[in-house]
Amino acid sequence: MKLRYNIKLAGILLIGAAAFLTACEEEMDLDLPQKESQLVVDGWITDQAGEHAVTLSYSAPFLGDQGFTYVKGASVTISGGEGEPEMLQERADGRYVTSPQFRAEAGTTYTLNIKFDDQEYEAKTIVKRPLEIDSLTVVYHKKSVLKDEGHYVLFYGQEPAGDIADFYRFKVFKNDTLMNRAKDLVVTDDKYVNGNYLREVEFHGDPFKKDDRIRLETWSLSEQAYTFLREMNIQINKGGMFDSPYANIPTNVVDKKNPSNKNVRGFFGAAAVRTRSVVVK
Amino acid sequence: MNKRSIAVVAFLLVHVAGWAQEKVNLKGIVKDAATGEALIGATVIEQQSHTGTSTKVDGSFQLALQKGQIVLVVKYLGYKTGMLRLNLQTDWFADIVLETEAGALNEVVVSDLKKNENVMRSDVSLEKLNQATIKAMPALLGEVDVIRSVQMLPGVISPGEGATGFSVRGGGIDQNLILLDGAPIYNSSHLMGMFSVFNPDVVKEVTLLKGGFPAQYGGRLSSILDVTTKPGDLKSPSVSGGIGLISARLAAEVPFVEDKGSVKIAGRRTYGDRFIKFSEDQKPGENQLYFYDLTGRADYIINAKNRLAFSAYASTDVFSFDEKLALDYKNQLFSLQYSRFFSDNFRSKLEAFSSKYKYTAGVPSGPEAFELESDIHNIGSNLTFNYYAGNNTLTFGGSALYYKFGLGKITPGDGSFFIQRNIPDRFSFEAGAFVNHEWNINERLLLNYGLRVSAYDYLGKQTIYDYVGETGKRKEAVNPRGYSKGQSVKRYFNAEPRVNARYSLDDESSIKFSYGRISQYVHLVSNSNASSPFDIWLPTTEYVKPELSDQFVLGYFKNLRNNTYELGLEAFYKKLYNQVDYIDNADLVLNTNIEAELLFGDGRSYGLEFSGKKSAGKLTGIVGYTLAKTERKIEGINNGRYYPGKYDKIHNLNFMANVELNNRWSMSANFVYGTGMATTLPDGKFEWDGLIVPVSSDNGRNNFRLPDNHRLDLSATRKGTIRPGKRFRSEWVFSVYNLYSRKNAFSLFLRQNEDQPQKSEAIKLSVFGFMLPSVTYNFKF
Repeated sequence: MKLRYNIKLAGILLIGAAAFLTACEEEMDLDLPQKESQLVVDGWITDQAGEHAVTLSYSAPFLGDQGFTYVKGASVTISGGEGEPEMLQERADGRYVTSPQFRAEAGTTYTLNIKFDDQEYEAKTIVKRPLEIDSLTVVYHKKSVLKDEGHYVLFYGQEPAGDIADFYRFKVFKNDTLMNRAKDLVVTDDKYVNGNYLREVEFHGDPFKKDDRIRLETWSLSEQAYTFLREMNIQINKGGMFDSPYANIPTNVVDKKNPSNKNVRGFFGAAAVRTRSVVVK
Repeated sequence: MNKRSIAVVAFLLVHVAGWAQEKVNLKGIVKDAATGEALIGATVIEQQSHTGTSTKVDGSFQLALQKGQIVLVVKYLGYKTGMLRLNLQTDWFADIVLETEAGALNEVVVSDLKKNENVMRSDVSLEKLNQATIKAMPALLGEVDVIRSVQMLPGVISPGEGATGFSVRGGGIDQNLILLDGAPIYNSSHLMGMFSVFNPDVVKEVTLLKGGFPAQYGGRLSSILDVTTKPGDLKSPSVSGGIGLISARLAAEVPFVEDKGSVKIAGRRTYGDRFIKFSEDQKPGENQLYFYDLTGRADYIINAKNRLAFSAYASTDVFSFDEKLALDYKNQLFSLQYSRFFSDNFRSKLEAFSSKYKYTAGVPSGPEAFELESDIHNIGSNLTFNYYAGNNTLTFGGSALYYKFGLGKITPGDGSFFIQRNIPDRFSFEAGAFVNHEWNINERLLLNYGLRVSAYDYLGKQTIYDYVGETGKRKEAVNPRGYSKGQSVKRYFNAEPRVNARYSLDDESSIKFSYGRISQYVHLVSNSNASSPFDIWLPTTEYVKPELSDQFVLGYFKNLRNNTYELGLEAFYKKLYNQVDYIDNADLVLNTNIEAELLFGDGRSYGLEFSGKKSAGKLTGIVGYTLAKTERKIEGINNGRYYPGKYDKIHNLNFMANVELNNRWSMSANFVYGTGMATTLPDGKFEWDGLIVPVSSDNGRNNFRLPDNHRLDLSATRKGTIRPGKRFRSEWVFSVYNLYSRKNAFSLFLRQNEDQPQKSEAIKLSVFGFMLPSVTYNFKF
């Protein structure tokens, strides 16, 4: 499952080890002005009840103190499945939220429509079948080359069989806070495990302490969402010797009035989510 | 194609047979190998003509000899007899070094280069390094390294500290044909790129051709790096070795038939991991990180006309951690060379080789156990004939190569939840025929021209696809078609004309011109700033076209002070076609339809190279300065416009010097300075699900420069006392790498600060960014 992840990890690790820890990092002052600002869509809907949000913002220069700016007063709707299109309500900082009753359904295609000023944008996504969590266990590891000392969570579950390619994201919450640094992003396809029972799948990252409450969420992804997150993972985890060149990641957001407009970024996705928790003892 | 080539050869043979023989001068000097002292009164006899003389007070001699094959025998009391075979075509200078009887070497060490060879030969863009020069350079962690030495030559660029390979005149690292005794090497690095695979103790000479390739060479666009090993001693057995900071070396040579046959075997292994504790309570064997290599060579002189040489090489790098992660990669080479002298002016050489590179990576045990393996296997043969007649040398022959590309296979371990997955192997066959005529038209003009014809078959068993979609995006594989085993899927032919001309202005200066076309049928699939051992080689297919290049070189060569100083100035222009590149975020691992991730386009590279060399006297050295530009134009990258190539370095200065202070001490220095390489940096960022993602407004490629790089290394060698009548020799080598701890940028990257998520930062990554001292002890007896 985490085959790719392992291979990548191996690459990063070997540099540390092979070069006898000879690589070092140093912050640099660069002059890197942004040539053009980009519209960014960040939206997820899931099959769980609750307010689902779509955030509309503009990119900022990578370096420097300039913060993000947000789109105000847009009309944002999500349509798909049965029933009327869902009108999203504007909150602060470019956040537009659904009603708490809104739930996406597996197998359904949803369309996000955004209108503001004279502009109109659209994104489509599909909800794929979920990855059920059988159980979670906790294992203790001593300090080693690959891991810090502490407790780690292991996942057990049946990967759905059949010809349909499945894609997942795993989110780990510690005491209800999402572990959300660049290195915590874990996405995978089922190419190497299709239909098998997955067991003792361990999540790399920082270890947990006694009494930590760990919640794991499995998110089913469309192939497009998987590609977006896989490529985002590459872009936000640079710094090894075997990095590929920086490149923009594809988006599913289309400018309706000017389809060749390349200054649109981000992704609108939908997922079936499964959750389970465990307390470290 | 073969028939036509043979006809051309036959015509040329008839044509050249009538050229007359004439006398030329052979001058030389005879010296003591250990001290360099001139030997007075040594006898020098040419055996065929029984012409002889003895050396004067300065050790020099002069003989007037017939052109053609000569055998020179040099004798001096208390020293081993030296012998030099030479095809003498023009006035020549031989530097002859004799070992004392007690010395370990009995073979005469001959510099078979005439002193003004660099000026007089027709080759351009040719660089040679011998073992002594390579060993004299300051070494990283005490490991004398062939490729690091090559990186010091003009026109050669290091891809970055600790990165595999080298770039010649802007070319890719896969555009260098790296040969060890005639067998090509597909991964030239140890420890992910820190060191190269060659054991310096067995290397005799390294020749780098950057352009002006004679017709017998083919297969790579940018250079030929020909590494040859030294044959074993034919008289007496000897052992040599060394102990350094991270590795130990041992070599032994034994004559199995005196004066006729010898074997040599050399090995080295790193032992650093034995002392490094990766963790507090590490169990023995839990973590491994080492490499070893073994080089063997056997030579047998059947008789005066027939010689055999066999070389074998094996290397392994092993990494394993916590019994959770295991990686290894291996090179395995064999080559056999058979030389036959039909007559004094007609000889042939038959070579056969096998080269295999394989890596495995995986998790050894547990539910996630798997093993991923991939390899490339290349077998081949070359047959070359040389015919000399008067002012003409004719070289002709052919080659055949067969390749198997193992693009990847995953095997699940016991009880693992992974599934078996194989990417189909690929196969190809490559053949070449060539003829080359070197013609001394008159005293001033030397012409060397030839033609190489290459033919290539992409072979079944294979399923091929059409790739459709927008260029620059991942394409879709459609319309699969099957081909059976051995069936030709696609065939290519390329005619590769070559011409080199030298016009000498006087004995010490010349102007040279060269044009050559060369083709390349194998491609290393690597989209990273450094090539990793897990990059795969891909054949030319119906979709991936053969890479081609046309290169023009114009050079001026001048020697000063009786050839003590060699100066060269070369201008080059290289155009490259069908270059391989990758779509954004290409998925190159275990991909059956890897073609869907590829992009194609052209490249160009042009510049000026200056080199200065002093190879005699107490102070020797090389200085090289290159002013160059390398660009690529690939549809789907940088909006289809030219952009700086990966190895674009505008200024590059290399300096190396060695000074012999006295009989015991010598010192060396290396200095490099270069413009920073081009890199790609986004200008903006956005927030997505709480993570900061870099974004580029124009998706430009290589739009930013790393800071300039420079570095100084020093070394000092202290030779042990030589006791009369004892064979034991030893030396201590002290070296300091990166003397002033320069943190040269390997790469620049952007990230969200882990501890302060609100902060975005630009980070410079440097490798070996601090002073690294080392000490090595070498011995021989």
